[in-house]
Amino acid sequence: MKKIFAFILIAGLSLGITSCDKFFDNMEGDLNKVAAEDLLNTENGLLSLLANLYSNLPGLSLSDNDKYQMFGAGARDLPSYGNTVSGFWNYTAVRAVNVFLEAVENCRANGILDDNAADHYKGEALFIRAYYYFASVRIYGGVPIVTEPLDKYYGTEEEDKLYVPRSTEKDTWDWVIDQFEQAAELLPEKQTQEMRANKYSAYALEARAALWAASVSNYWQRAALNPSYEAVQKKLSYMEKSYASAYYQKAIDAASKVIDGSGYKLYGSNPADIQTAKSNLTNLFRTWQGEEGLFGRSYKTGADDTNGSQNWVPNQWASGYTGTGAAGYAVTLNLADEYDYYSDETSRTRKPGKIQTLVNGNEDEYLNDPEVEFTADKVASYKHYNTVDEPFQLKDARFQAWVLYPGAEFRGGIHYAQGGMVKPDGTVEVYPNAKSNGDGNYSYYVKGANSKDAAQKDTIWAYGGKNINNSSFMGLTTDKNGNNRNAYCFTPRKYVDPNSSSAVEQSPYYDIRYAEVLLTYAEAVCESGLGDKSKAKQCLNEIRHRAGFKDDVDLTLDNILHEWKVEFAFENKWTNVLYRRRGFYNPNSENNQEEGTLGKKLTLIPMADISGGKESYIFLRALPVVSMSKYWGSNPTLSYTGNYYSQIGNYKKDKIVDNNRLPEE
Amino acid sequence: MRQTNLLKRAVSLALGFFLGASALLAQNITVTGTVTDAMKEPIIGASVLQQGTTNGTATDIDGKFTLSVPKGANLEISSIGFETRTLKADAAEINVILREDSELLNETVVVGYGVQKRESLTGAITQIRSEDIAATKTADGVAALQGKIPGLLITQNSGKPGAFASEINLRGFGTPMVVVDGVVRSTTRTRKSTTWNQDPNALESYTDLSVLQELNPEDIESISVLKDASATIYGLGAQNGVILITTKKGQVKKPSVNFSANLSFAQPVVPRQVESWTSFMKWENAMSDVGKLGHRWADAQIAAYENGDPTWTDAEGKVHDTVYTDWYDEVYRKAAFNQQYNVSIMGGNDQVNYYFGGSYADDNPILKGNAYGYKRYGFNGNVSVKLLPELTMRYTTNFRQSSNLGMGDFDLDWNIFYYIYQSDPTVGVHPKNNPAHYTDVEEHLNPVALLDPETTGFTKTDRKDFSNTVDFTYEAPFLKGLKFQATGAYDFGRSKQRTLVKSFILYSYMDDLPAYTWSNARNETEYAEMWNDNARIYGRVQALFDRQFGRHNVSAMLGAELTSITNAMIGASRYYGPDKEQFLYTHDVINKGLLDSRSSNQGTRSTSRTAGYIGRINYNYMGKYLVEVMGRYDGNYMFQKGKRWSLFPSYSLGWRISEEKFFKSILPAVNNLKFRWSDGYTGSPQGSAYAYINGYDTSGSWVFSDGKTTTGYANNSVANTVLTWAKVRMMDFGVDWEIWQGKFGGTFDWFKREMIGTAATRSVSLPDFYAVSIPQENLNRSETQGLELTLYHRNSIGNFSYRIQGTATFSRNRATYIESEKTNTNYGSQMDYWKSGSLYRWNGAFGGSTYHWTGERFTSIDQASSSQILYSALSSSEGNRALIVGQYQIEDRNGNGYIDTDDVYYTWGSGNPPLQFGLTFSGSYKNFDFSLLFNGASLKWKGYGLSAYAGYGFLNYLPSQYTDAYHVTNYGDDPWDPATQWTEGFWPALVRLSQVGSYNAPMYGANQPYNFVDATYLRLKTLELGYRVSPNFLKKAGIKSARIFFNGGNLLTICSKYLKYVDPESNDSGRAGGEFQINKTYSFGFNLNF
Repeated sequence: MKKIFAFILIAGLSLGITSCDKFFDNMEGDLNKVAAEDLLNTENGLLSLLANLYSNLPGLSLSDNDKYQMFGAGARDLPSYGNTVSGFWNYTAVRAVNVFLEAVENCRANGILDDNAADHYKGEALFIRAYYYFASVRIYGGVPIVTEPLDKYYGTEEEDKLYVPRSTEKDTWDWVIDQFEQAAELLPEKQTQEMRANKYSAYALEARAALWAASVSNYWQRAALNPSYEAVQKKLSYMEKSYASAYYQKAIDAASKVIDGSGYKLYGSNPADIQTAKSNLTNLFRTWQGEEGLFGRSYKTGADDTNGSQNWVPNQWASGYTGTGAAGYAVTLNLADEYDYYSDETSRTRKPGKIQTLVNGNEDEYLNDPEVEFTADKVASYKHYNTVDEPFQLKDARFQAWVLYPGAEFRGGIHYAQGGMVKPDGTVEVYPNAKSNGDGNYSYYVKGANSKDAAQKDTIWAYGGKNINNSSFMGLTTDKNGNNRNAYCFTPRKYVDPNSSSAVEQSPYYDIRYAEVLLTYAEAVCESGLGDKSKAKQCLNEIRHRAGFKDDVDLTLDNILHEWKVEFAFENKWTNVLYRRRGFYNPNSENNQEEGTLGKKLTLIPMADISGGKESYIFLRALPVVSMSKYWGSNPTLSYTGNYYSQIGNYKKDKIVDNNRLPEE
Repeated sequence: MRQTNLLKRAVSLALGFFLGASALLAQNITVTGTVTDAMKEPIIGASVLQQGTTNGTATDIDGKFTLSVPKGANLEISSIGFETRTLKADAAEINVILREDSELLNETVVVGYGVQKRESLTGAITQIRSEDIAATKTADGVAALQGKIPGLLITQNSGKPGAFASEINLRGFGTPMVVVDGVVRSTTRTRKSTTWNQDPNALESYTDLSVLQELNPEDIESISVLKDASATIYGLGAQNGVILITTKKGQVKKPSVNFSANLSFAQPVVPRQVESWTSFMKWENAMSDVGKLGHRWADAQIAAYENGDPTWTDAEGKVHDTVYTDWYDEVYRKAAFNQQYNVSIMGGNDQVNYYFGGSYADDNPILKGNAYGYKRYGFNGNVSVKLLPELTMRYTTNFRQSSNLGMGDFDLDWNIFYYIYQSDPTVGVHPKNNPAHYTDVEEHLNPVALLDPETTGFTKTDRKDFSNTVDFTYEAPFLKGLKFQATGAYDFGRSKQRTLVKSFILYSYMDDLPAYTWSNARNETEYAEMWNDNARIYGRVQALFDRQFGRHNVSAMLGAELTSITNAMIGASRYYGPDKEQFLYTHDVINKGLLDSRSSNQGTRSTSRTAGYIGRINYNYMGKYLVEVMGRYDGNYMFQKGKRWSLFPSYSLGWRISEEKFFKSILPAVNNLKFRWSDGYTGSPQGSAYAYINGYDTSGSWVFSDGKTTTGYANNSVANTVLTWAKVRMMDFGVDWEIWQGKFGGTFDWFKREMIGTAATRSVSLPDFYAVSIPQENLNRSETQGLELTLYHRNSIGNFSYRIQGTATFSRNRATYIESEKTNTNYGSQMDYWKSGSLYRWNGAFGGSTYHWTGERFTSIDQASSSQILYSALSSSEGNRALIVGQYQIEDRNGNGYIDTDDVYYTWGSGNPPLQFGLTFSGSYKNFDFSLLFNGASLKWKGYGLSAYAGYGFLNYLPSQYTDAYHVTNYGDDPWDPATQWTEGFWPALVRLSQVGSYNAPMYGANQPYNFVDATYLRLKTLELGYRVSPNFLKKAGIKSARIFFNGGNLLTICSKYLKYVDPESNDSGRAGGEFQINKTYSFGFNLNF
């Protein structure tokens, strides 16, 4: 009641007063937003702004990882991604950094931050902004460099300043490398919170960017652009070989700063045996190992979030096993073949070679359509193994730790994968579960047992007991209950909990770790001839030794590229290597095939041979897609024939030159 | 009552004067009498006047009067709100019954911040009284207004208890503001999103009209609707017009108690007519034949059902039960039972008067189970006290408590009727031998289980709303006609919503084993609560002046008001699952959540404030020339200093040509002809509050170290210092007429509203480097125009008196400037522009699309496949192969050789229709009274959108309407054999959905000629018959009067014959029920007056 009278009184008084604007002052404001002053003038506010800047970093997630080495979810197709690396054209994010930088200087001036703290924040902002531009320059070439918030010019006489022209590609690379360097100089050696960039994160990224610029310069001719393009003529998307050695030198210098005396090292180096190596390599990707990780992202959010790697687990191992969602990605045979064998358990020297499937050892052969081409008379030409995991037992510890293969121990069980069988009567059947008897039900389960005859099912199991759920190749894309199963025998297990199934996978993601700095140094030295060759060789072999190998290999490009593939599988690095080295397989070109000459993804089909009353295993090399009319998915090829420069969507609106266009276009 | 007292004083003065004079006259007789209303209630303060003189008196508290007049003189007896009667004074005692009338010219009409006589109104204002509202028996106050007020466009969308799904739109402007007892009481509130398939924690804001929806008609004195510039006096937000509700006040009379009860039975308006189970099985097999699919029902099975065998044996020798479950009967009641009770007491004397009313309403669903229901308790009261001879205080209070029960999961709620129609009738509700479990059916949603809150959960919304108003009125003794008023109000409301969504297990029919385990949304139990707390504080002072200076009538008002509204919300939820073994769910309280059960919390708060200075002057010369000028200087908290205040002026003019001497001499029969014109401005708030402050939103997050997530913030827009309210101009030209003392009359209005400067983003090209979104500015414009017509007639023939009123409203709106369509370069072609542009296009006129029928049909499959016209784009890859016998041939309008969406033509859609009409016919004969209310609408079309579900084998029922389809004459004949005989029908041949793959296939489209139906309708909304029992009969029981009545709702509908199975009014689209149908009701009730 008191309030009512107060309101009447105010209303009465206000009749005599010219304005009652005071009624609207001192209101609470928009409680769903945070006022700028609360963010820009306090350290906690700056941290919140910083969280946004970090979250805008491109590509720091598992979701679009190195699918170049994988098959798509549940499909025989490529994962949904182009052959390029992810780009970055986000000037809203750039503006946020520039606003942040102004706020830091303001806080410094007002004494809210001391010089030291202000330098650290500034260093982080420069690091993040350089990272953004690094992601831009690698696919757009030279880009407009914006270093202040520009919206203030809208509606003023200086509106021209809104239109920033593209810098040349070289200038942009130079600027990015310089920004990383500046950031490194400002940043502390160690941050109290480990998921923030420090001095060595910046040097490591500088080395990565410099190696990228060097590689593009060095191999520009492999995929040279049409010289008539306007952007090429203006050198906006243009590099040349003569730029390369300066960039290699920068990469060597920056990498050296991390290698020499930073304190960073490889986690679990020089293991006692293969088993130790394997367990170290598993641990590395289960929890953040600060001694090796230079910069990355934690998924331990404090909530039930997940890093997305549960999508990599074959569905039969996933939590609950009821889902119809994304089934696991699968690993190509191409990658599996890349991993070396140990000579033996003790001397552990390198023994390269593909997985042996044929008696004659000709492992370049593969089946185009295994359902048609694989016939009963061919069974004898295949190499028979006694156990299903026999071909993988002495493979590189990294393969064993990071790839789930047939017969591997996983989550307290054995991972089975079977794509067909040689039946007791000697007839063969590939992909039995894909066949329908016409009434919509699948006629065969894994071992070929007729679904309508439960008793027979028990007698025909060749291995693995009667639990059909844990086998891959179950009904291919989905089984008869609509559940997705993985249709391939290899799936990635990096980042995946090896012990229990959980919907919440919170393994960390390493954006850059010490091993990459080592390999960067090795590649820069090897390619340029600059720097310390013996140190470079040591860098290369340090990585191999951690994986349990005891011998040293030579500092050759082949050996370096091999390590890029196997050490960084599923870390989105191999695609980057191919991109910066212009090394994708191109059927129209002869001199650029770092990927190899196959140009196709292959898979391995494990088969049980239970003919003649005994049990053994054979493996078919095959193209995964049998026939377009029967199966979903297209024949995956790995060729890349497009330009390495992306179009700029808003080039007209932005009044800049687009890539890949002739001047009059 | 003020008027009574004034009148009494005036009359006694006059009386004193004339008493002396009258002594001089001979042959005077003294007439005594009682003036009562139709209920035999005394009318206090009625004026009794000797015609042509100033000799008169007023009735006392018992309605009695005594007056000395010459014998045979005419006595004119009048009272506000009643028809005036003239009687000859030829007996010593005269008892007069006055009939209430709302149409009379001197009726008092409630207008913004005051009252006016109807004859001097210059705005478009309609007022209706309590009885008219109460004639429709419904718990939804908005539905009770349907068809009664010209300009109010109302459509009932659903018959779900407590859903209040009636759309209300005034003149096509939008949802009007609701003012109760002088205070704006409609407001914006937040609730859990009720939209289908939403994040369970999503919120939506909505305009809370509960003061109107939950009103108890018996507590209402009158409802006035301000439809033109007269609404602008309510300031910002009044751009859609204003509904003014005035509650009943005490009267100077003996205490009088009124009790009424209304009991009603409700059934769906559209009866269910489906084929018998065996007929359905045969029809579906015939559909399979058309699609060359295997029969779904074995002949042995059909035979078993026909013969009533307990089991049947399939081809593989397996024996099946011959179960038949009519899911409709399992979940539908024969009728829903609803009840409403109301009791009120009123009375008073010179010093104090009072009114108190209490009410109870209970609405039940047509569905069995305890899943739905609505209950409401209401209390309304006011006390008026004369503190000083000049100072009156009145306290008005209103308290409502309502409880609304619904399903826990909105997604299921939305689909419940679909589940009823598609559940498999060949299994039982419960597994064969276990009544404790529910059977698994299609989509794993057993409708009986869904209607069992114990199994699947519930949403329970409890609301309490309490409003308090205090008025002080001071009649200035120093200046006649001047008074001061101060009003304050404090309202608060609380609503709490408790939601339980339970995970549940269904079992297979034959072996009672768990048949399905939910994996995603329903694999865990969620219990959530959301509490809302709202408060409004309001204050107003005003000075009013009303006085007649000779032929000049002047009234003026000056006032100031302030409003502050606070809304706060807090919500929490707990999850139990998905591993059911780990999580025991026990009670529906938040605290029972285990430490490690998942939880989520949310909360927010907001305050809004508005203020305004109000001024109005009315002037009229001899009631002939009428002028009103008003203005408001409005302030709003949303905008920055310097942009918060603005002046909104209005004026209106009226000319009562019928008062002109020349007119009276030419057309004496016309007792009223008035021309009105009004034109005024107000503002429509838009955009978000405090946009002028640079505010940051959450944006991304980063884990700085393991387990510690920091939320990021970013501002991707700049502070908006340019946007302000849209300016609204409201215009109205009206004509009111009446002839033969009200026997015939009517009004006509043309109206137009312009919205100037609605928010839009400027279409400028800025480079990516600008990097923020451009602030919205006041750029766009739109207009609404329409016509409104009312005609009435009333008459008495002997004891039979009646009244007929017809109303019609037509309204439409369009954009007159759209910034984004500044240039039409955004459109690929003229066709694109025509299809998707909206500038200068009347809204709604393009809401529906249909193909033209050439008049020909495909009579054989060969004919369809050899057709010259390609149906390719329309039917995706299937082309003409998807066509079936009986399919309508479609006109290739653009002649390009194939049928695609470019061949449709556009017409009115299916929303709240722009043309609505109402017809009221009411009257009385002796003790009988009746009223009929028709309501209708046109310019509305219905697509049998998903008739595919019902007619094409998707459901487990076949609505009988679809038997009027092309079909093979002899069941079992091969449809592909050219020799087969076909029987023609309205629908194309029925095909199982699995043949054509998708209900997007051409024959299912809502825009096919046979699926697209004109939904013009006329509906008997209300039929009421009442009988007043003679008081003598009941006097012994202490009852002064009693009335019993029958009331029917939605008893009759006239519409296209193709809408026989689909309700033309509601959202029902033939999708097997879809929404809760609106109901047909049969009510019985009585009123008692003690």
